[in-house]
Amino acid sequence: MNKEGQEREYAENFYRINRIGDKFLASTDSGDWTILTKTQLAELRSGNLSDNTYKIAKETGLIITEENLPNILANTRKRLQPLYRSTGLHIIVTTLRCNHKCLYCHSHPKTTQDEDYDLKHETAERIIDFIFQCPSNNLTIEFQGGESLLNVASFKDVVNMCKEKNKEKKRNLTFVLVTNLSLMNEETAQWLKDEKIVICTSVDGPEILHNKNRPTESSINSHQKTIEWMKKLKIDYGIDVGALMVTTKSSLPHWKEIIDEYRNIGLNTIQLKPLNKLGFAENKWKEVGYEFEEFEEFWKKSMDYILELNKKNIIFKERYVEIILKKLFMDSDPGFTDFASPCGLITGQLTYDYNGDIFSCDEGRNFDLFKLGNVNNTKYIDVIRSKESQQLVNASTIENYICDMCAYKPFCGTCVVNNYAREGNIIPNIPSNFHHKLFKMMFDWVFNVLINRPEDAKLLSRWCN
Amino acid sequence: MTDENIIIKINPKIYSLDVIKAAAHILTTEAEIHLNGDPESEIEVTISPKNKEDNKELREKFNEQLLNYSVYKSHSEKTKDIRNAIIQRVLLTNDSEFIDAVIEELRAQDKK
Repeated sequence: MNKEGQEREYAENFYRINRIGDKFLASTDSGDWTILTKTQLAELRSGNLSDNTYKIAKETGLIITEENLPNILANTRKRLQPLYRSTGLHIIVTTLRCNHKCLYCHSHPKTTQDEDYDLKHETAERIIDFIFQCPSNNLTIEFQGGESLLNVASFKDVVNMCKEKNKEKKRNLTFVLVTNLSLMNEETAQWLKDEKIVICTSVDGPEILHNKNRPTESSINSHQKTIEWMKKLKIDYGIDVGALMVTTKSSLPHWKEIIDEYRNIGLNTIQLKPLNKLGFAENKWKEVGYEFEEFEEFWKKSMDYILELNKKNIIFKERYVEIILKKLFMDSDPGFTDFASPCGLITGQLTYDYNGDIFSCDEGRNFDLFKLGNVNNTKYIDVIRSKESQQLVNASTIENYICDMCAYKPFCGTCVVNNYAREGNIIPNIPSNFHHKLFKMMFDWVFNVLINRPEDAKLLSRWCN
Repeated sequence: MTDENIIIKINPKIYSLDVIKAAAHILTTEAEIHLNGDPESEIEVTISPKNKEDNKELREKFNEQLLNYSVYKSHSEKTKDIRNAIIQRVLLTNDSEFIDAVIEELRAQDKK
């Protein structure tokens, strides 16, 4: 009933509530959300809505009326759009050889002499045939290692074969090279520029920290080489190189220096990635690992520092937060597979090892459980339709877990490979799950800023532009 | 089990067994939880905190989770049909090109 005593016609929608201080976050399956006061929540629960609460509930789809139903359907449709996609990201391991021995590497790298672990032309052909069986219009082919520059011939071969095949297939192709840059030379740089290949590297922080995390086989200065080539590629070739970092135990006290290092090399975004308990990191966990609470402190100090920089009009962002904000405030989804349910494994990305083995995703290479076949005897449709794939995708769907009662659910996700690595089970034990704690901490932080820190919220609002 | 255990007796007609289990599950990182009693008349929840100083906080947290999960469960049941209807409608009409093709095919069959 409204103020004039007229009956309102609406149905209550399904929504979830999280308490944040003295306010309540309410969200729906369509990804719409709002912040309610205690009084407004009580009105919503009782069905005795004031005009203002009715307006808010209608605008954000907490209740369904004839007028807002098309909007609810359209927003839900946008959220579920990834269910209709076919795999867009294809990661090819051109060699397992590497000249680095990073403390946290999950690729099981081989020495630089071990050429048995290089991708062969015939296998590359089969991989490309497999990739083009995928009906996606947009195909991103990413080269990972080992160190891809130890087998330049192979990734040039793949690029050339893909371009040849694409004359007939006519897809939108993007190539990405993930490299430590230490083996870059002028000839390869020019070729990368000519072929418009996107380059991504690793920078873990200042020189001492980076070199400690990323020792090399021949004691070359990894940090010096990486930074030198990042600058050269930018200045001489006009190529902006993206960078990723991994947080080890040694990184924890150096949150400020890590961010300053990124600023010094001209980057304005950092993704403060925690360590995965995979590969070398699992074996050396006592040396490089840490408890969740230690990472939480590192991350929060980093965020405070980033906001301090923002207050001085220095543009700098943290990528997880940027993605959360885009999910909350923008119409289109940023397509980040960690914050998706189901996550991006198989339907969003597949990884091909040097010998043609197909894995659900990059991290999946660590366990046979995530191996879905080999390009020599498996078709794309077989992978997608297999019971194993369906089980993995199901396990990454957080509607199946207690997450379904959390208001962050429409924006969140889980990683089955990390769940398996940490818990020995692809089904997460949510209360103790590392990714659950990590993402909850980030969402709590974002909503706390949006609700309780208006000056900082203004700074964050610029991150979506 | 020690004297520092928290014992909460619950009427299962107010909070069902699955609600009690869900609330207990959420606390498993902070405490060992033991359920006992008769699902028809009274459930006894014994909470043994891993850190003994957390007793009061854990009791409050358990009670809050009982209420949270109970509200979630009743709200989910109440809105189950509308939630399913929205998802079904969205999934059936998501791929507009596919729907157009189906309509086209049906029209063609009608003409025959």
